[in-house]
Amino acid sequence: MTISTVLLGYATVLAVAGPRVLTGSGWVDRAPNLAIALWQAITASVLAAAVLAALSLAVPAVGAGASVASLIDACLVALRGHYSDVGQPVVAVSAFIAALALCAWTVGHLVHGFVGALRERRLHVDMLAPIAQHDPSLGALVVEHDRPLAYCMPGRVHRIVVTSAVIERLDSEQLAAVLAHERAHLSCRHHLAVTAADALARAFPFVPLFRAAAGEVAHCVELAADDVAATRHDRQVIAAAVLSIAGEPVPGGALGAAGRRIARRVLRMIAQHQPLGRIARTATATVIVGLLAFPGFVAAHPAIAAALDRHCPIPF
Amino acid sequence: MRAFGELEAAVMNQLWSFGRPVPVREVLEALRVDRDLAYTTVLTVMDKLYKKGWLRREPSGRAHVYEPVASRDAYTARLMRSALSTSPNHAAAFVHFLSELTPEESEALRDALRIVPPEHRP
Repeated sequence: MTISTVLLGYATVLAVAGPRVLTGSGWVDRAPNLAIALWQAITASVLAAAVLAALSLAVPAVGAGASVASLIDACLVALRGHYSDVGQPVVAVSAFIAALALCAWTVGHLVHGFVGALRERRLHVDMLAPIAQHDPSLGALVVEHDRPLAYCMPGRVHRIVVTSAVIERLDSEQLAAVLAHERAHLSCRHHLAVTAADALARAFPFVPLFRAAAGEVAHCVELAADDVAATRHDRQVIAAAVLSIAGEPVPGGALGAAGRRIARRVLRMIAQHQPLGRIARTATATVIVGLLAFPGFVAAHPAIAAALDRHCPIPF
Repeated sequence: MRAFGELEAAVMNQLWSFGRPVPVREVLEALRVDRDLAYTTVLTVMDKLYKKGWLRREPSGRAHVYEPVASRDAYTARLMRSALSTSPNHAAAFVHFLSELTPEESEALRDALRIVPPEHRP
């Protein structure tokens, strides 16, 4: 079995099994930051495996094979033999182009995602100018509006926006908790993780893994921000605040994924804090490191093996 | 290119406060309370807002009267909606709350909150 087959198989299994194992899993609620890292590791691993699978098919191409071999002083034939059974240069060149294309596609979407988000935010801040009043006691912008909304705007200047409905409906404790939640988003730079996951979901719409990752990361950052707020504010207060703002019932509204998540957040705050134990955390961290290392290790393995291969059929 | 400069924002705000078509002079008088402004400055700003489509104007004598195209509420509602929007363009720009609970779910959660007695709250 060639390296590329192994890597493609790994990528496929991970892309299919990853979301099934993680989504709705109980431990996520207890370690949302770790869950975010795990989702990022899975998506990175799948992409790396795909790119390396293509690259390893490209190794037999004359130029690439020769330079790698000279780098590690290995037997060129042995090297090629380890990487691929397919000898035709056309396949190798196509694979190389495919690897480049995949990298460009991914990076391009990420850049587009970040730049687009930045532009959206700038425009939104400008548009807020005529209607938003800065409230120094809250450290937030207040907008006259009858729907309760609270959101943050990351960027060079951190901004939090709340509508007047929030100030009317929440007592001072709950309001402080909401602001703490939004500040947590800003200081933890959650928008980076969300933007990246969202960009990948748009880059590969036909791969369910990326869409699942985007949704889960977005939810986990809310849990993480709740946790940060909970270090300074009563959990019940946070639960009540979330319910007052996010729990506004929509008449005739179906319980969508968003609604379920709000319910999950509220119930999670009502319950006692149950952080994940050290063993579980260490195990998860190990899995994360493993996921990141595995594709590179598999791809490099034949090169290492060839370097160690003393049997060279053709003397140099 | 900025959507609203600082002065443009002030002018919009002022026009909404008036709630009726007003000439440049009235806006100038209102803004002069906080700022040192020339008539031509305000005229330029309002003309720019008109060209951007935020204001409509009608001739009144030799000058014009100006009025915002959208009410402050409509403008606010549209902007807040875009903040909430989960379309791909907006999804990653903000982190926000969504309200999509049915009345039953909402009630059930409120009950759950009430059940926990105060002395047992962490």
